[in-house]
Amino acid sequence: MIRDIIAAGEGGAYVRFGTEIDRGTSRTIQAFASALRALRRPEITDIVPGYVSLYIEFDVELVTVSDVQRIVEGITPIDLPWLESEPVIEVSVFYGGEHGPDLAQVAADCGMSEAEVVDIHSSSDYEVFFLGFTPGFTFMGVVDERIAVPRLARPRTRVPAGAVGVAGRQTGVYPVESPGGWRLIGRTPERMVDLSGAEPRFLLTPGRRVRFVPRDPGGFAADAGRE
Amino acid sequence: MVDTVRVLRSGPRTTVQDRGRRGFQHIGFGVAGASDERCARLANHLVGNGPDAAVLESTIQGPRLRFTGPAQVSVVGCDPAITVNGVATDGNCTLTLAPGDVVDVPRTGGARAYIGIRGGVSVPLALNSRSTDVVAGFGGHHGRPIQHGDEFDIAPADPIRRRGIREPWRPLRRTSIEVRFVMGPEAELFTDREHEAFVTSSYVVHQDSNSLGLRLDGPEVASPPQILSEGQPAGSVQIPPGGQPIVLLPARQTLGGYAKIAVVVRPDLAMLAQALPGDVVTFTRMDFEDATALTRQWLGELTSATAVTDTLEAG
Repeated sequence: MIRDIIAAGEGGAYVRFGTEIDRGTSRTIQAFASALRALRRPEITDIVPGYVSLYIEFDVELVTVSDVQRIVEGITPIDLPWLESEPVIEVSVFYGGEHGPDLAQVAADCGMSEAEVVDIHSSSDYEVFFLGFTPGFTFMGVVDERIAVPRLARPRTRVPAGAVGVAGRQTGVYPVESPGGWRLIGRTPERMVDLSGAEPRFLLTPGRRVRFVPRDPGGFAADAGRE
Repeated sequence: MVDTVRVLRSGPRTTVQDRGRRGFQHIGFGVAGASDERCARLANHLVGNGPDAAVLESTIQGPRLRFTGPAQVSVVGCDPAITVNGVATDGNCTLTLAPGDVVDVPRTGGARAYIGIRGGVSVPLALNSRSTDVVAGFGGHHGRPIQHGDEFDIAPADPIRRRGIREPWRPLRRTSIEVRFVMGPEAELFTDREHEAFVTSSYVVHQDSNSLGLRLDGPEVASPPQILSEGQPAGSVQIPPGGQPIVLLPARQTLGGYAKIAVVVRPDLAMLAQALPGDVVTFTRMDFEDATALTRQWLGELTSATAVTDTLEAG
C-alpha cells in the first residue's frame, strides 16, 4: 500500500499513497496519520495529510528518514470513523453577487448559467479530506467535473472569512480572512472555527460529510448577525 | 510589580517568536517561529535564557523600547545598529539596563535582528508556542506585530554575568550567499536542463520576499504542472508558473501546490533568512547523508556555543 517514502530535506519526508484526488486515498492517508499520531513519538513533530501524501516532520537530531520509514512501516492504520452514519452537516451558502464574485465567470467558463453551477455545487455531498493552509481551512471533494475550473491566475490578497471556493475537483470554506487563489462562488455566515478557547474548535473536520444549502442572497447580513 | 517593556516605536514589523508551533500543521496552524534560528538562539543565550524563550524578531528596522525596571537585553543580527539611551553600542554581548533605559534598533543590518530579553517575552502560550502567526492572526502579542504604545511583561529572572558570542558564531552580513541544498521531493519532475539552470544561475532576492518565503529573480526554471496540495518543509525551493524560485522560510504555509526542485539545508536557511532584496543567491547541491550529518553537527555546535557558562566572555 505504501509506495515509498521520499526525503524532503533533513527533517521531513513524504509517504505517497496515490496520484489523484480520491476518497479512498484520503481515508487511507488519514488512517495512517491517526495511527502515527497515536504513537505519540516525541521525535515526530508534525503529521500532515495531503491529497495523495502524508508529510511527516521530525527532529533531525533524534532520527533520520530511515528511522521514520521503519516507524511508518510498523504501524497499523487506524480507520477514522468516516462518519457515514453521522448526519451530513448542512452549510448555508449565499451564492453569487457580492458573496460569490467569481460565480459569473465560473458559469461562463463552464458554458452554463449561474443557477446551474449553484445547483451542481449544492447537490453533491462532499467529504472533508483534510485541513490546512489556515486554521480550519477545509479541503473537500469531489467536485463535479462539469464545474471544475482552475485556480485564479492571480490569487487575491484578501479573501473574507466564510468565502466558499472551488478549484478543480476541490471545494472549501475560508475559515479566517486570508489570501486565496480559489474561485469564490459564495459565502457562508456560519462560523467555521473558534480560536477563542485554549483549544481551537472546528465546525468541519476530516471525515465529515458536508452539503452546501443555497440561501436567499438578501439574508446574509441577518444570518451573520445570529450567533 | 512586574517589569514591562513599552514600545515607543514598533518598526515596520516586529513580532514575538520562539522556536515555532509544532504539531498543529494538520489543522492549519503553521510553524511560524524565528526565521533565523541561529540568531534567535544566540540572542537568548546572551541573556541567559533557554532556547525555548520568546524573543522579538524585527525586519529591516527594529523597535525603540523603554524598560520600566532593571533588565538585560541582547540584539543579534548581521551587523545591526543599536543604541542605548542614544549611545551606539555593540550587540554581540549582554546589555544591562537601568530602569527607564531606552534601547533602539534603527537598522537590523541583515533582513532580521533578534532582541533577547532576560526572562523571555512573557506573552501567553497559544498551542504550546509564543510565536506570532501573522497570517492566521494567532499567537504572540495578540496575533499581530507589535505597535506603538504596546506594553508587555518580562518574566522575572535573576541577572546574569555579561556574555559574548564566541567565533565563528558572530553573524556576518553577506550580500552574496551560497546555499547548499538536497534534491527536492519533486526533483524528478524537472528535466536535466532545469536542474542545470538551477545550480548554474545567480538569483537576486526580490522585493516581495517576506517571512513566508524568499522570492528570487533570475533565469527561468521551466515549471512542471502543479501538484496536489501537500505539506511542505522549510527550505523548500518551489518553482511556480513563471519559473522564478521561491524559498520557503520557517513561517511558510502548511500546504502548497508547487513542485519543489530542492530543499535548502537547515544551517544555510538561517543565513538565507538574513538576505535583503538585491542580495545574490547561488545554489550548490549536496548529498542527502552529508546534509543530515552537516545539520546535526551544526545544531550540536550551536548547542555548545550557547551552553550555560560564564566562561564565554568575548571582547
